Amino acid sequence: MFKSAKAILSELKSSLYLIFRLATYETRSNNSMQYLGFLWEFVTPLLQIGVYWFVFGFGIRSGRPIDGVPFLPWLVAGIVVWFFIASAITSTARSVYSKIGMVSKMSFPISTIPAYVLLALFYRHVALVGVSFILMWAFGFPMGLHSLWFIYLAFSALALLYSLALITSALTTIVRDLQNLLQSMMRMLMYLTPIFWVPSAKLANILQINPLYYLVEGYRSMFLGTDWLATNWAYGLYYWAIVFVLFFVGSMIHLRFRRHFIDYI
Amino acid sequence: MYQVKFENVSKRYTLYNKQSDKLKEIFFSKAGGKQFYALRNVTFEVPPGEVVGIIGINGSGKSTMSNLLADVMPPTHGKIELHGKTALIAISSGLNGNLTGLENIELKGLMLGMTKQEIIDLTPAIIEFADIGDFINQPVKTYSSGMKSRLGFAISINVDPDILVIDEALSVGDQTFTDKCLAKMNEFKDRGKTIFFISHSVSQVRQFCTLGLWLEFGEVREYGPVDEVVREYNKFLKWFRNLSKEQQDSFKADKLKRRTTVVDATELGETYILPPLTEEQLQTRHSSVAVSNEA
Repeated sequence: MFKSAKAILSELKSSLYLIFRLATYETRSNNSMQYLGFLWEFVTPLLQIGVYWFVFGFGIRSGRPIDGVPFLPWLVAGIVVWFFIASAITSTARSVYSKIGMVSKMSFPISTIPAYVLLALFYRHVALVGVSFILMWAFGFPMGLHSLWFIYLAFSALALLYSLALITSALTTIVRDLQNLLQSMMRMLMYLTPIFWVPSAKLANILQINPLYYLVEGYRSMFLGTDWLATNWAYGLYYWAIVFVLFFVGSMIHLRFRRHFIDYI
Repeated sequence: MYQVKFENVSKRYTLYNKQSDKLKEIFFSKAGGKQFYALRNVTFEVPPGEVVGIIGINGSGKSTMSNLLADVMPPTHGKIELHGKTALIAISSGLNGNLTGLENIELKGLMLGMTKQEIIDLTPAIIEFADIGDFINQPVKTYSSGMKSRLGFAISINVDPDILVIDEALSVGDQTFTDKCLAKMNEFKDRGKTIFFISHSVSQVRQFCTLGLWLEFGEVREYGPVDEVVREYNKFLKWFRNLSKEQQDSFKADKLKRRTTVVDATELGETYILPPLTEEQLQTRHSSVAVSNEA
């Protein structure tokens, strides 16, 4: 079990340069057709936030603040990481079967494919977080020491998403239907994480089984400068336990099936 | 001494009746559906410095052979040994249409496992060989098919492979480019590298190759000096054409039955990439050939 995890880690380590270059090309190839190119990475999420603010903030909550925080900054602080999570889970699941045609050698380390697809999306995420810092400052939540939590949170998100990607990319290559299932699941999970609403303490206990809950609340606490992350350290331990289990399982599945990936295209 | 060795190599595809049969095979490793052998018990050895022409009618397994040689996929059963790097040149050479020619050179280099410096060093030679002018900075999707294959060819041949596999790629270029390629391949040949040449053009094979490998419905029908193999192949073509429609069909059905008979092997096949042959080993090859010529 540890052997396969170690194999994946050493593969990633020796292909770091490859991953960074391929991520650059991935971004370039995605944006090459549009006039506004990279600008869409900001416009689309901002439009979405506008709609959610209107529907949930005015429509459902009729403008009431949450724990003394106005709804809009509260929403932005939580939803920014969700944009990353949702796109990462669906794109990395697709990554292996859509990119393997580019791979011209069996000896190519296939575990780098989900890694570079994830990294390309992470670049976008960092840019969006940068914009969000400005927005939050405009709302009256300036940056401070608490913003440093971003480094930890970004690392935590990458670790979880990559571990998941190892599993989903292998299984989706074999059974394409999983792609559709994942998409619907992500849409559902969006409402089962506290992005738009605050669950009661009892309900929160159940919803916290989902590790994405930790990321959303963690980012929110980082943007708003609360001490949620520090006081919920036990939940943090649970999160990392999940990450390790997923990574071990993912490495095993990946190594078990990768020889056959090319046969399923 | 050999550069390439195939030992009882088979490549099997399963013709599934339903999608769910596929899942059954993965999880219970029991093969459902019909088995079809693209290649069946193929065994041969190629000494360095030879040019092997692979011939055979449509559906005889030539493309599967080129994929196995280029290490694109593993064999189902059997053992493949390759000394050194292989490069595959095919018409669809896996270029990314959204990226420019220059970007594709780097991307392809990375995919082939080259380092940053190696790619930088090779780029001028590739651009020169491809000879597509300012198009090198344009997206590949704007290229004509000839330009695409020229770029693909230029990349593959300049990564300095020890084994070169050419799959019908020469048919798209004009005469000057074909000549350039042939010159480059002759240079390869002289340096003791091994080339596999897959083509429907029997005359091109005879002109350029030293050995012939004739595949017939997934099996090696004949392997030896190119003239002999081509002669036999032409004889076969003539004989086959003269058969009546029914005789042709029954001949094919007969072969198909062989092709769907399950090979008695359980171990999974593997491709081994061995270190390139040393100068010394290449030298011994020359002397042994000389001796065998005298004999």
